[in-house]
Amino acid sequence: MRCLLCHESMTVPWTPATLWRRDWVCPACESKLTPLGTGCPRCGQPNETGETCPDCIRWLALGLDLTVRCLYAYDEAGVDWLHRFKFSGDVVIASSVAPALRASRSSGVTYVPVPLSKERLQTRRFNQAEVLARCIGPTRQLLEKTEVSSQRELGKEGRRHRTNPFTVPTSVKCGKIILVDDVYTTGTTLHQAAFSLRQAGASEVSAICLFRALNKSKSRPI
Amino acid sequence: MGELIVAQTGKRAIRFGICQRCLSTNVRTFICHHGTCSYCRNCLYLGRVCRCDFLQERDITTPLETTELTMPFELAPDQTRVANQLLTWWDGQKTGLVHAVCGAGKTEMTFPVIERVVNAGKRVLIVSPRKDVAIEWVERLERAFTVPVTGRYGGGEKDSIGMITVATAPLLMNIRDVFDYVLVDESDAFPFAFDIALWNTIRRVGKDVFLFITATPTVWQQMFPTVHLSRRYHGFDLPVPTLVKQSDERIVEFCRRHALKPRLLFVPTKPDLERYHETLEDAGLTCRTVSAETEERTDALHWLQETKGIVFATSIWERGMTVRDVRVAVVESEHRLFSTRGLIQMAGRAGRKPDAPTGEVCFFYKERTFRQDLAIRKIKEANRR
Repeated sequence: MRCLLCHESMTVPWTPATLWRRDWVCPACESKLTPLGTGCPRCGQPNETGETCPDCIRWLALGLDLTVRCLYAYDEAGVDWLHRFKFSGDVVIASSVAPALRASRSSGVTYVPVPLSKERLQTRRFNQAEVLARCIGPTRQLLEKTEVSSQRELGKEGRRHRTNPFTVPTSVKCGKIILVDDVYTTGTTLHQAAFSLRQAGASEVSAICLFRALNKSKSRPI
Repeated sequence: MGELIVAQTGKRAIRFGICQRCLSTNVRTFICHHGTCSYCRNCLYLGRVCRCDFLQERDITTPLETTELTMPFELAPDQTRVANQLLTWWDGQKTGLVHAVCGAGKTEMTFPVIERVVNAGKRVLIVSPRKDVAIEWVERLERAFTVPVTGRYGGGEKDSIGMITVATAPLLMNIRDVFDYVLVDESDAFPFAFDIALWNTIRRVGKDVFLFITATPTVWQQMFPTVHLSRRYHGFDLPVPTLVKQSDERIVEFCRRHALKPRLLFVPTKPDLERYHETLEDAGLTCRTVSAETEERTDALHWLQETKGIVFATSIWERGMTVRDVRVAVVESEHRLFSTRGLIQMAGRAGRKPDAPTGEVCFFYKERTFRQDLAIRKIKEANRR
């Protein structure tokens, strides 16, 4: 069997899963992504004490309470992984993080991927958040997004003071909703989406995110 | 006839689960913006193709030019014989094989025929198995020809086609029937040397006139008309390997004996690199390791040449590199990754320069295999011819 990520040949452990599982990841590739340790309980920003970080206190002061579960640190390996997934378009490598995502699955929850705008969807061809959400569990696309410029060049303040691009076209009838996104940088996207969902009548909203951008990183200051 | 591009109309990019660009069946399903769709994982490096994409052939627009040739040195009589044979093959539009020993000056022998093809207004492609070899081709061609040479390999100009193009095989997947003359350098080092399906993918880039150049042809390549050249251009014999029973002391002793020469030791696998590196470090010798993952391979090559050091290499260096007056050893030469061809190529690293035409080659063995004997026999045979 070849590793999904590095295409090196690897030996597959003999389990009943060997018969039906198609994509295997070798241990070397599996250990490349660094899971987040102790950190802020709301956003996963790593710190030693596990207290709420100042950014989250600002969100709380605005009256937006959203717990985001992040899985991996957005370090160099994470950037490589996400670049390959999102921009090179190698969609199946999502199954290398699927077990970790699926571990967070709970029953009676609807997973809502953060949408792309129509134009972006046309060029990228797929919604990366939707691919991740489908790895976890039952998915419904409740949100819609109008076109805004890419956030990549915006700074921290520019990102925070965006108008809310998300709208909810239908009424929300599901009880618990978990938003799914790929990277948590400042949290504006997720908080805006949660705000829209709550206004449309969702009772309980939380979020899960694959990567947490580290504010202290020198490579990509936020 | 042209270069395949992803467009709005044309032929479907993926049909019947087969990618029409690279003929691979490594096609995976995913959720596209319109629903279930599939994409090819094999040629992602050329830009993704999805089943909802279409492929179109775009004509090559780079202008046809003529060139002048300045030979870097005068060809020896033997080399002239080969060069003339290549010209006759080109005039008759025939595929051929140049079977020349390592260090025979294979590159320069092809210059006359490249000049003739280019001046006839046709495009020439030189395919090489590795980037390092391609870069060396570009350097030598640029010194000899006035027409610009295009390097189509990772890190070079990936999507351009000139009159003379040097390329690695994967980046040719989206080209169809462009090149009138295709030189396949080190033709037995390609994965398609043993796989007819992969060979068909590369055959589509040319117009059925090929030239295989190698020191160790495969059986399949030997069916083409062959021209032999079994003398190096400086006229000396190929160094014949000696078989030595392997032990750590003997490897250290080999390195000590040639302390004033650059020494190149081949090992079969990457974990072996570390192991033998430690062995030599314990004995108080400094050395470097080179594998496919080493970024600064040319840097290591210069280091080996300048400081007369020791380098452990995997088979990544078995072809296409020249170090003056190098001493070669193959550690664990019975390993199944060392084929007869590989052993001959490794032995051919020694004594490639006219001012240092000899060199010692040593096969360390734990077990004797037929492959070692066959390699030595073939080298002796070439010396006798």
